[in-house]
Amino acid sequence: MIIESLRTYNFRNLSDSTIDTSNKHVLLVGDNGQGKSNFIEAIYFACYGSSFRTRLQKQITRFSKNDLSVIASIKNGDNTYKIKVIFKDGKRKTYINDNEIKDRKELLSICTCIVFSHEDMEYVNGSPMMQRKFFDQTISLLNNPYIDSMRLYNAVIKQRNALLKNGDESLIGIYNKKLADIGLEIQRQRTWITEKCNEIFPTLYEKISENPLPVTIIYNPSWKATNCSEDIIRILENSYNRDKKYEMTTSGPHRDKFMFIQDERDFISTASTGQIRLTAIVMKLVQSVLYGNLMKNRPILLLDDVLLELDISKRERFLENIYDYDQAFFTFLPKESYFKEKNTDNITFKVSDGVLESI
Amino acid sequence: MKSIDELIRSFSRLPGIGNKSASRIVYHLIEQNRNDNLMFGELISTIQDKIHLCSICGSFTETDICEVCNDPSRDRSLLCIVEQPQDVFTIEASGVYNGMYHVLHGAISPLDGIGPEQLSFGEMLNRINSDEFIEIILATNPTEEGDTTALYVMHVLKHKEIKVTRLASGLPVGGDLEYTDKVTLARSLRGRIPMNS
Repeated sequence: MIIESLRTYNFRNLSDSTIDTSNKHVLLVGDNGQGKSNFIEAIYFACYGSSFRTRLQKQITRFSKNDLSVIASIKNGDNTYKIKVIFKDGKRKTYINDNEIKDRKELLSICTCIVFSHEDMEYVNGSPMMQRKFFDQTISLLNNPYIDSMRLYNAVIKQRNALLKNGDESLIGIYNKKLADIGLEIQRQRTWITEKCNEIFPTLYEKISENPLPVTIIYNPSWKATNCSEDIIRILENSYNRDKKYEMTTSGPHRDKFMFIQDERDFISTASTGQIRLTAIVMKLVQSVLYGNLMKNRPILLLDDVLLELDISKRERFLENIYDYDQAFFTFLPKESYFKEKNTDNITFKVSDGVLESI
Repeated sequence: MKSIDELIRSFSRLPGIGNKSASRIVYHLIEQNRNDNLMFGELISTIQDKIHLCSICGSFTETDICEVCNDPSRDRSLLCIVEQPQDVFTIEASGVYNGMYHVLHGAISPLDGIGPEQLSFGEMLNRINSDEFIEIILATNPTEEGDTTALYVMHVLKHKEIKVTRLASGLPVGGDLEYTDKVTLARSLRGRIPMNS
């Protein structure tokens, strides 16, 4: 899949214009604060209808403006799609080929982009919630209905918590059963994704870091030693008094944890900033490799400044190991470009004050 | 103008009607025949006097007992449980069901403060205990709340020897497999039915 062109209107500081991006490598070069990352963000916005940097519409709308739009032309196989996402009067509307879609998850079947950005470190050394977010995102990319499982799980948790606060206690058995069924499904998917990641991550991390001690991922579910929903119902029944006291469900996949282990010890707590950065970057790489392997389609990569964070040898080894993609967008500071040779695969834009100029 | 604005606001409070549709309706009302407006107003102001709930099933009716409950030709061994009176009319319009109904008037949702005691489960149990139903058909919505409500009915009926079924969910008839969303497809696969038994 390839983004053939992108048109933005009132999107952060980007000038309102259509940019032709049909090359394999799109290089955005400019000083800080000129709009390179904003362009990357706009592409992500067209692919998923949301931003990876903020949840607030106001922040992505140009200063003093109220509405914005992003229109992308995306080629996937033999089909070309026109995706339009607009924010108007505080409401978001998303269109595929001029037909409005009700649920943004429909976008997932059209285009998959994987963004590498500074914020990814949060997935590695941030809160367990951020870690779950990463693995949940990865599962959703490979198995779209997982999004509905997550939505249902969150809905059941909310209902059960409301019940614990002030509800009819005779209903608790029903919510325990529902939570067990949907929670078990989430637990199975998270176990599966951990296995899949462990098939790729340790080797890839070792290759790029040249550190021979393997780093592996461990999934640490909140409900332990469970294979069937009866086990989970028993756990929920046993913790009922505690749940009732705190007026919330104190166990379940919303309390799951993931860990990175090296030499049988927690790797992240002793890792250097550089190692954490590399772990985050390699995890994103794993996401794109899994997508390529399992979905028989190749993603679009968005690399926002991440190469800057690696030393030269790691940077080279990283670039050698990304190959499973149809298109990649890179941001660089001036004179930093790592694509010296000019060829038809590449197009370079100079980004200055929100204006992209092909050079 | 105050009277126009107030009327627009009243219309836009109705379900499915936004500000734009509301103003279109209001301007149309101003232009249209005065008698039509009078009749329309009369219909609106008297609807709640004319319509009340059937004392047996809880559906809407103009008489004490609704047409379905009154009809001797209906199959009194089947009871279909629905969330809202509208659901009765939807199923009736399909013309394929000839049994009885029971309207719960909502679905269980602790978040909205709706538990079993807010719904007409008591009346439902009384009917099941006194009438001779052979099968209970759960026709609650395929939502989180509808599923919980169906599970609750199962729970209260678990000691009774009565067949309980739930409406199937899956592929739309006449639809194309290619254009079916993945969730519906996954649900259809899970709920597949044997062809050779």
